[in-house]
Amino acid sequence: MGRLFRSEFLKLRKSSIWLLIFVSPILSLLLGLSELSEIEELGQHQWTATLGIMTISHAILFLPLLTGIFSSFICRYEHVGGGWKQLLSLPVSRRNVYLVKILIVSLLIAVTQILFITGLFFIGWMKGYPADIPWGTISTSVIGGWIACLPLIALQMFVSVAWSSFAAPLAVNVIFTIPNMMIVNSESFVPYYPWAQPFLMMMPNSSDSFGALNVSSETLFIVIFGSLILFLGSGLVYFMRKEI
Amino acid sequence: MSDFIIETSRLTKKFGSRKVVDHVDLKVKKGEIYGFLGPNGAGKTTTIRMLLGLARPTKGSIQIFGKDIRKEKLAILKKVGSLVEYPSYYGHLSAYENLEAVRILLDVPKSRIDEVLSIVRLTNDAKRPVKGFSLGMKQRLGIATALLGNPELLILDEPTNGLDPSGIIEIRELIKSMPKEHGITIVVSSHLLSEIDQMATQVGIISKGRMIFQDSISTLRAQSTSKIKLTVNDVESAWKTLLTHGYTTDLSQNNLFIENGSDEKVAEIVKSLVQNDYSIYRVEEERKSLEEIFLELTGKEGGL
Repeated sequence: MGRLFRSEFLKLRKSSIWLLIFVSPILSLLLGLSELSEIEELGQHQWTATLGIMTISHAILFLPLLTGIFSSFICRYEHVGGGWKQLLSLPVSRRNVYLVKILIVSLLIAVTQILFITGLFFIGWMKGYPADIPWGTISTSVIGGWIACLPLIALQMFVSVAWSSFAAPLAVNVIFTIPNMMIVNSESFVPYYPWAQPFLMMMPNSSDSFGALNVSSETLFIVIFGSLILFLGSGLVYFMRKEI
Repeated sequence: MSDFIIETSRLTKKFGSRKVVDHVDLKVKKGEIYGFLGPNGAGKTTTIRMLLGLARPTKGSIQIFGKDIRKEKLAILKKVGSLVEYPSYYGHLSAYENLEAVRILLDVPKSRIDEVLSIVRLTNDAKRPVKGFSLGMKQRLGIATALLGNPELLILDEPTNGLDPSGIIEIRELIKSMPKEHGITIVVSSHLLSEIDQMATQVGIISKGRMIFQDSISTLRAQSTSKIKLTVNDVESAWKTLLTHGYTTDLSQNNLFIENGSDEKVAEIVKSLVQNDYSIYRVEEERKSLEEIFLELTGKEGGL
């Protein structure tokens, strides 16, 4: 498993795709900076308010899209050059190959989250937000957002492994991500829509303009872990049986 | 334990209802260069993919190094180097990095990369991205990758595809040298008989999924029956004259042919022609080439 990870990391490092980890944090940072003037005298709420603003584009749009883009890319160089048959005729287990690919994408998303939150701290430092940073809210938001991405990664990996076309998995991803903007406003659909989960997990509770946030965290975790097990399991079974 | 490195038993692969590989019993002994021959689409690559565990047999079993591939796949693959169909590569990596990505998985020393690069003479291009390589260079990189793990068994599917004549000779010499120098067993597939003829010690011919011949290449050569061709001045009357003397010959293309003629019979026919005042221009032996045997075995659609 460790060797597979190193080999995979080498292939990833030399492609330029990992640079995409910077896109969403930078955009969110700019967004957070530009909205800054409207937040006044909120005390500690300055932190959560800014986090809320930054979260909207990041969690509704970019995070779900990035799961798909990273998954497609990490499979693309195997599809294009016949890498699958070379990789799988080496003494490596298929299960580990699949899990390592998912692990790599999860790490890329984790780094994206860390950069995102670095952006928030940067804004706070620039504007002189209160020193008592609401660590609980922020870490729940960042880590929760990352966990909510895992089922999406599992599903996108399944699709990316199955289809040798690069565009098809991305199309699936976009088709399911775009309705997010509507679905996050719908109390009845949002808890069960996997693409909306990163947003639900990341949005700090202070802004209650979204009805869906009344959904209990238990429900969310059941939906997230349920879909993770479903997508990961079916993807893994498919890959183990796939004829190369 | 049997002395076969590869032994398949009634290996069958169906795609839908079509049998692509049909009850193939492949047997490869240690130290052999096994030429796996067949027209395009005969089932060579499918068989090789099953040998490497990339595809699952519909029926039948595969034993490599005396181990069942279903149970001990990773232990087997550790000792197998392979190149399947067109070469595999990561275009965004250099040749060196491509080998490094595989080396990490095989856990062999780094020095092995330089060794295999020099074997296939890619040392000077090692730092270039592979996407700029010619097909022949990619093929050589594929062979280098196959050699990387010091394999005991090398499975090469169409290894000389896309190589220029000097590259073909180089790879052929390389393949021929390996059993002697390192005791490696090699399976080489090809749709070109001349290719196999120049390398292989054993040959297996597959056509439409069935193994139609499997033996040493000298046995295959022995199958070539010879004919005696007579060129005479007046063919038709000579043929009739011979017939009245009780000798049957075939008349075609203005020549007389004697099938399976013993030396005595040939001598008698020649004698009787001379006695009847025919001018004999040539008496030649015609041997069927391996190509013709191959075509005969694989049927007419087995285009080379």
